[in-house]
Amino acid sequence: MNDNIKELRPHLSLREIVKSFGPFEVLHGIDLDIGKGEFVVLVGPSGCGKSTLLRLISGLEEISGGELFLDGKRINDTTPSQRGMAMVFQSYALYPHMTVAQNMGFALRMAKAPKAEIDVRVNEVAQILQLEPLLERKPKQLSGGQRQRVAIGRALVRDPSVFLFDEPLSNLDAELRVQMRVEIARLHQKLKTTMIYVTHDQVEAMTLADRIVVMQNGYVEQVGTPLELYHQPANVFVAQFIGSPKMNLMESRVVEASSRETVVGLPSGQQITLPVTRDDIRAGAPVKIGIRPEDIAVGANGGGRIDLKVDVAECLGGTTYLYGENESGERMVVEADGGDRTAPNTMVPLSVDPALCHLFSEDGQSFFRLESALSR
Amino acid sequence: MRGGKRSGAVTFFCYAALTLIAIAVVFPIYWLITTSLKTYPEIYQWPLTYWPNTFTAEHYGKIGDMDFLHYFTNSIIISGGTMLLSLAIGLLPAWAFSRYRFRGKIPLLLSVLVFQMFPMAVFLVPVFKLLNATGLLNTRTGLILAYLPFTTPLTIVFLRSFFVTIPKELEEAAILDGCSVTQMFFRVIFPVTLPGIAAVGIYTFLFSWSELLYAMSILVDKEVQNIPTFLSLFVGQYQTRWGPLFAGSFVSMLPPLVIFLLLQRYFIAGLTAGSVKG
Repeated sequence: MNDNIKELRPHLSLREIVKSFGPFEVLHGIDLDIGKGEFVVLVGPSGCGKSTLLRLISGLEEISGGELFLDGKRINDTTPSQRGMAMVFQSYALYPHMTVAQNMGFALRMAKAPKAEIDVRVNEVAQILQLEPLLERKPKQLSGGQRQRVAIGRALVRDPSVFLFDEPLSNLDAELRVQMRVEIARLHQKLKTTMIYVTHDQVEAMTLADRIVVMQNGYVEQVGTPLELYHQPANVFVAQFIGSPKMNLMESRVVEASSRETVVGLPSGQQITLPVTRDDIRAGAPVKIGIRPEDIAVGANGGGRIDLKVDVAECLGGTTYLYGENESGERMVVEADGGDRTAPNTMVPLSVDPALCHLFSEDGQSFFRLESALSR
Repeated sequence: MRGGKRSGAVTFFCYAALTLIAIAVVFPIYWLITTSLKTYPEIYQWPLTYWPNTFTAEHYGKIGDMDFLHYFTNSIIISGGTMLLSLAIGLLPAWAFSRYRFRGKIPLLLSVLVFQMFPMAVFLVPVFKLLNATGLLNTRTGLILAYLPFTTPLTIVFLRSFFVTIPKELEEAAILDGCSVTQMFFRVIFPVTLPGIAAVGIYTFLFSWSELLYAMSILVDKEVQNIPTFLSLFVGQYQTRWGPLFAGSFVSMLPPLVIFLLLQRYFIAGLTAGSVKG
């Protein structure tokens, strides 16, 4: 990952970007700066607008409102091919009647580059992506992973200033997805080109991104590094979208609030003090306590106590997930040790560290954490 | 054992039915070829002979003496012209219907099919009068133009169904690679849709190759007449000269057969691919 994000000047800037299809507005005033060489992932559920945003950046869709800048130059009206961007599609979009070499060299042929230059460039990229033995094959003679590499190669040959990936791994099986993810990460480390990657898979987002943009219903919910989003989610949606299994949420009320901490009650009735605060919160206000499954300890080990009535235990070998209900009847999941053999209908005592708990107000927004988990 | 017996009986009946269907399809062609090789007495003989007692090439010689090659050439020109013009006219509208949204799209697409709802004979008189008024009566061009209203609509509808199956990402990739819309269509879409284009081309070729009513009505002089009009010479009011009729029919089968054999893989792929979405 890039450790100098704060020092990057914007390579790509989005200012109040709006997109409408007829009377329906699907993107609502998106503001985003992307630094040169940064790997930014747009993540969110289906229909959140991430692919639409990518298509606006590429020029395949027209921007309804707002402005898009590349290296300080406004490119709203620039044609897609002149934006210096290359796109890798979910369905690969390889030209079926052309060989791999012809697919990769197509953009340069359209730019009327000399044949010798095209051959050199195609062979260079083929070497990087280990496509040399496949150059004379047609796409139908390739496996899914090979097609994806050719699609990446076709983008790479153009030497773009920005790579755009639209869910490129969605059509691959789980094992291949992991392999290609590593290849994409390696490619980014090697090329240091700006990359914008769209996915609905938060694991891809967490492992690939320098920064993640979490989107929902055409809005940006939060922008941050993977660990920022993990440890300091801005709201309930981000908290539950990032992390798998998703964060547990428990209804509670504020017992006492100060400028440094907030006291809330657990389902067991026990009160815990969380190092979070919020200006507009008073005692009695309804809140939600959030705690990740991996941050809960099985056993009464001090800290806050919750009793879980387990109904399902998923043993995955290295980890066991316990599913059940707490004292308030709320569904919870806990990550336990791989050797845990808790039987269904067993009451299991759990411990929660207040420092690892999150607190969300009634409107879903996160409380402010005085000491970041990142700094520990 | 019981299941095996039932399976055997079902298999037998399936094969028997398929054999009967095959015989029904193949027998007319077999009869056509063998009759074209029989002498006149044997053709009219009773009981019929299913294999020639004496082989003769006199009927093939007869149609050769009647300048069959000339009619054959006219048929090639008319059918080839109909095929190429239908494709040239129908290709871009088909793509537009598949890709663009515009006002009146559905009514326009439905109106394209209106011609298909009426038999060709209904339009014969107005077409005849129009060709006469424009000086295109008794010309090959006139006949080609008369066929176009019947071949172009199906060209458009069929090719539209085919274009719909082509992923939009292919076009977008081409646009990003620097293609204009025209370049994108001819460099990417057109080569990819060749199976569908070949299928439609074969259909229009075959349609115009064997059409008789318009050919007889529009082509008067021998110089412009094609094979269907030539073959109709052998069908008289009181007598049909089966020998040369069947000889000419067999020879006229050969070009479509050759074309189909050459392009059949495109034809099959085009039929099935175009039928996925519509």
